[in-house]
Amino acid sequence: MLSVTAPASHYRRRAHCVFRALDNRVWVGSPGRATVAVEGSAVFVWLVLEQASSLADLTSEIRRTWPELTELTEQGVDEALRTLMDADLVESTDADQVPASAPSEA
Amino acid sequence: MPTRSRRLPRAKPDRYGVPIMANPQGDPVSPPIDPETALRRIATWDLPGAPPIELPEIDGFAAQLQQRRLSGVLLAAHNCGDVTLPDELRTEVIERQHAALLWCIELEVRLLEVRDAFDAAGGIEHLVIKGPAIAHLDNPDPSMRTFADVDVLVAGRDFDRAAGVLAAMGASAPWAERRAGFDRRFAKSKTMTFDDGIEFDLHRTLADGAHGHRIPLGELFESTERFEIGGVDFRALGRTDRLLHSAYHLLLGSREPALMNLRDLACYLTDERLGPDEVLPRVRQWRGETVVAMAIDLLAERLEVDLGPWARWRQSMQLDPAEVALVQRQRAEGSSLGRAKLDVARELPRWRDRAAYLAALAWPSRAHLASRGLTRRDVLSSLAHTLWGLRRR
Repeated sequence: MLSVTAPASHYRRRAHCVFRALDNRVWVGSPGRATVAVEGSAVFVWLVLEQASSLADLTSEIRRTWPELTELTEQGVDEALRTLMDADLVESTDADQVPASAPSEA
Repeated sequence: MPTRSRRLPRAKPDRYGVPIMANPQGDPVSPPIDPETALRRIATWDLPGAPPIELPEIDGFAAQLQQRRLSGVLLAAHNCGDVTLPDELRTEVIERQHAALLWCIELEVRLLEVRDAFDAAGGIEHLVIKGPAIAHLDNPDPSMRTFADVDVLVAGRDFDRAAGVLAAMGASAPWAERRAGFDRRFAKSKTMTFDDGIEFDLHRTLADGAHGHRIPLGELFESTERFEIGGVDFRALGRTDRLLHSAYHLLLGSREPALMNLRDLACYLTDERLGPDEVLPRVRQWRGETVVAMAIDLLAERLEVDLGPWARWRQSMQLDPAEVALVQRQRAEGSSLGRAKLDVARELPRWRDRAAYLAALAWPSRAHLASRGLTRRDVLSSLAHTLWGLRRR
């Protein structure tokens, strides 16, 4: 009998989120919703979420981009992701559903 | 419509202090830089030949930076170590820039909504021009470049439908069309404003006056560049056309060019991918050599930047006096009824277009007159004044 491993979760920004980053704060707006501020370690997570990524990939990308953030652990990234998901700014998706293509043309 | 953004608290009054440098030998120190010179230097940051940034010793400089849309540039210079901002100034500049960025987000969210509405209406061919396109395509970080409204170039055949879609979304034009079909055939743009103050400028072409009618509009949609807002793909003018549009906007868009617009053009002209060899064929196609040359003159007069090959091209170029007069009339008259309007009529290729254009100027619809608070006598009197001025020349 074959053993099937569940695909690892990936995370991505929700569609139609418009944002600007400045001085350790990111403002995120989208149609029909209030613009909200993202602060703390969630800022770094948001900025590296250019495309759907796993928790491990996000953590290593943050470490690569900001090597000075030595104190940010995978657990910290996970907590930041939860915060972003609670705010409905990020969604999780199965790895096998991650599109390989560029952004869609609406 | 409810306000969707959390506004930052109003900025505090300026109270930062720049330390006055004491010279231990008692030698005279150079006088502090005046605010306008400081702003001009900030506008040239990171461009070839730019002088170093100095900060003026005045209150209210953060407000001036915000008003001139240069806060993002100064913060980038600070982050790169090219200038050190006193803490209090830095805090206020950031606070003000956050407020400006919140507005940009509001504008881009509306752009996404308008895109959805365009699609729901069966598709409207359009390009995003100016603010959002420049912020995303021509700056290392869109937070550096803020803007006040959204400008969209719409294909002529879709122009009336685009205005209809915006009207259905609640936007309105400040006045009725001059005559039915005038905007689609002859106007530079039509401004539509939503109840919450967001302005959408629907452009038929890229410039006012005769030069705007020379631009091969169909070709603008053939060489475009893509960028993304909120995961949605948008099209903008190609890089060469963005340079030309920047020059046209600088020279023909207003009598007093904004520093941020001067910086935009300087960035294009110092981009190695946009040298005269690459761009001039397009300039000639638009019959815009004089516009580009005069825009370079304006830029060189206001900002200290080494324009390299473009400066050499300008030195080698003789201005055509007739073209210079055409530009000067347009700059002087703007949208007023004057001789520049006759220049436009001459530029129209078909006689029936000329007749329709002049008829709309001389005999606008009653709805147009009423919406502008004008009488037919006002228009005819203005027209007679223009014609009398021509006779006396």
